[in-house]
Amino acid sequence: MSAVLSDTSAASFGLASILVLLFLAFDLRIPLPRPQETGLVVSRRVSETKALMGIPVLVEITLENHGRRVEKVLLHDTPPTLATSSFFHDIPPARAIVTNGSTSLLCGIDEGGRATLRYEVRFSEPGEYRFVSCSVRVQSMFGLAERTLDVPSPLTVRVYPRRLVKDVDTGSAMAFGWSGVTPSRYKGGRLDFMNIRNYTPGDPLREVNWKASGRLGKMLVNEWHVERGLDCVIIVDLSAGSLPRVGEWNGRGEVITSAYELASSLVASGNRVGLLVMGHSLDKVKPGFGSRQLKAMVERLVDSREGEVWSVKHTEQFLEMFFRKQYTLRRGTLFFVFAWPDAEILESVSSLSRMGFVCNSVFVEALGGEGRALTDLRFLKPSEVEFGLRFARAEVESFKTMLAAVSDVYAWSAGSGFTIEARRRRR
Amino acid sequence: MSARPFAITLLGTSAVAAVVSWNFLASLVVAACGTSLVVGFVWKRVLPTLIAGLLLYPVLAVALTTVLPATWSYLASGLFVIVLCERLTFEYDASRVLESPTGIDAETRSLVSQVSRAHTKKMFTYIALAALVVAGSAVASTYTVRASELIAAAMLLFLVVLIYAIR
Repeated sequence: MSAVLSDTSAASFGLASILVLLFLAFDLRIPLPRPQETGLVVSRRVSETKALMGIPVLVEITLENHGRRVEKVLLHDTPPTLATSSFFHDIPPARAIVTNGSTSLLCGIDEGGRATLRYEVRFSEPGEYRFVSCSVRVQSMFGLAERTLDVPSPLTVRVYPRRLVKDVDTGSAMAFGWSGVTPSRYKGGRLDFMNIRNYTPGDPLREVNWKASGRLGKMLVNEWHVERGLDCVIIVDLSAGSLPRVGEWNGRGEVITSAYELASSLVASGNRVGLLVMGHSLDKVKPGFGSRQLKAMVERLVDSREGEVWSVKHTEQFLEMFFRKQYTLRRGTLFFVFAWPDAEILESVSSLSRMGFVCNSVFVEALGGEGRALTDLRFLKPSEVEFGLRFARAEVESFKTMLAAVSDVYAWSAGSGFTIEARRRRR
Repeated sequence: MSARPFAITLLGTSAVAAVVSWNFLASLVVAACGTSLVVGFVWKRVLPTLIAGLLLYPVLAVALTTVLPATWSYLASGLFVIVLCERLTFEYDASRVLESPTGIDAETRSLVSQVSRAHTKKMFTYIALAALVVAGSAVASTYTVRASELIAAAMLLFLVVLIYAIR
């Protein structure tokens, strides 16, 4: 360096430091407020605290300054993460995807001033998402002094599965074409005409057979077979082994949406429906009728978590434990909802079918999502992904054939809903 | 405004300074400066950018001595490096907000441009103050050979008094 500086004096080099001193003095003339004095308040709002999967939600963060003017503020927000989930084998919980806008804001705020940051997020998985805190970086104009504050602004958004298909093709008090044994509450419980009998006080007037009454000169009423619905339990498999996962993507969203559509359709048709979710914890909803029952099931599905603790192989014990023998004796109908068929499901369906339960397997088509996630992450080339998917589809087809021997097999895919794949031959 | 024109200016200036200095060590320093600048620009990092400025400063000053007196060249190169590096790092902060892949709304853009305007205004004020210092030093050097030391000491005192008065 001495060679470079050979033709200059140390004094001139020192003189140049004046500019640095001037720069320091000019930028630091207004010191940054201490954390307790900043007067910066962050408030957060969302367009909906109860949102649907895939529907954008607007997040609005207002930064107010109750202290003295701040020259430069960099506000940064973190999109919410799924609070009902945790790290799974080092994979972080699902995070909301920012679809519009930026999560950062650069501004200067006067005393009493405010600035608003807006962005839109989309949720790819149902559950409870939690916003934690915003990071606020306060700087002098030239950035020589800076202070970072974490301003808490908690908020929770509950995300529900979106019903993509309005109706599964079901008849009244029937699901997929056959009726059950439980008297239905649907449409007054009338199905087939049975008989005419004498009117007794209390019979509804709409049941009076006016023609017959006129002919015979006495009040007669029609009698009907009571409409009967299914007594069914939906068993949702969220065990880690049967839930496809690639990076941060997993098939939980699809499985929950399909279970919700199924439950919604069955409840709407007047059936008695219960729920068992096998995953990190065992979530159960006893069989019941009506929209309140559906709401309880949806809440339970939203709170469910994937995990390795509970598995479908013990379904029978759970049915007996939670729904008592009353249910076992009724020989009800079971719907198994899963994203990847494996030996455990096959074994469980076969065993319960042998015991007299009417079993239905609902295969949730998540291979498309898995393929897209693999392509996005660039783990494999698109041709390799397609090659792998062909093998996976072949394996699924083989399982479907085996399941068809003991149950009806349905496929569910987002957008197109349920389609029947194979029907079990009944005796 | 983007950070690119400032980075290109800094890179071009360093290349010219290396050629004018015509010195192996100066070329080496300029190479390190270029690398540091590119690293800072690609990853939007402040520290590598400031290091690039620091490396450019002596080489540019030496190059300027071919056309200016030594004192003036050091002042000019110091001013140039400070202004350009500072603006570059400011643009990094702004670009973090402006270059969001999902876009930004009109209010955010307006707030960023307000900060940018305020920053430019402050920069001009700083340049004006620096010009005053340069003029002061030129005047002082006609009376005493210790002009640089005198002005440096005065500025230091000014800084201490200013910060003490505010706090």
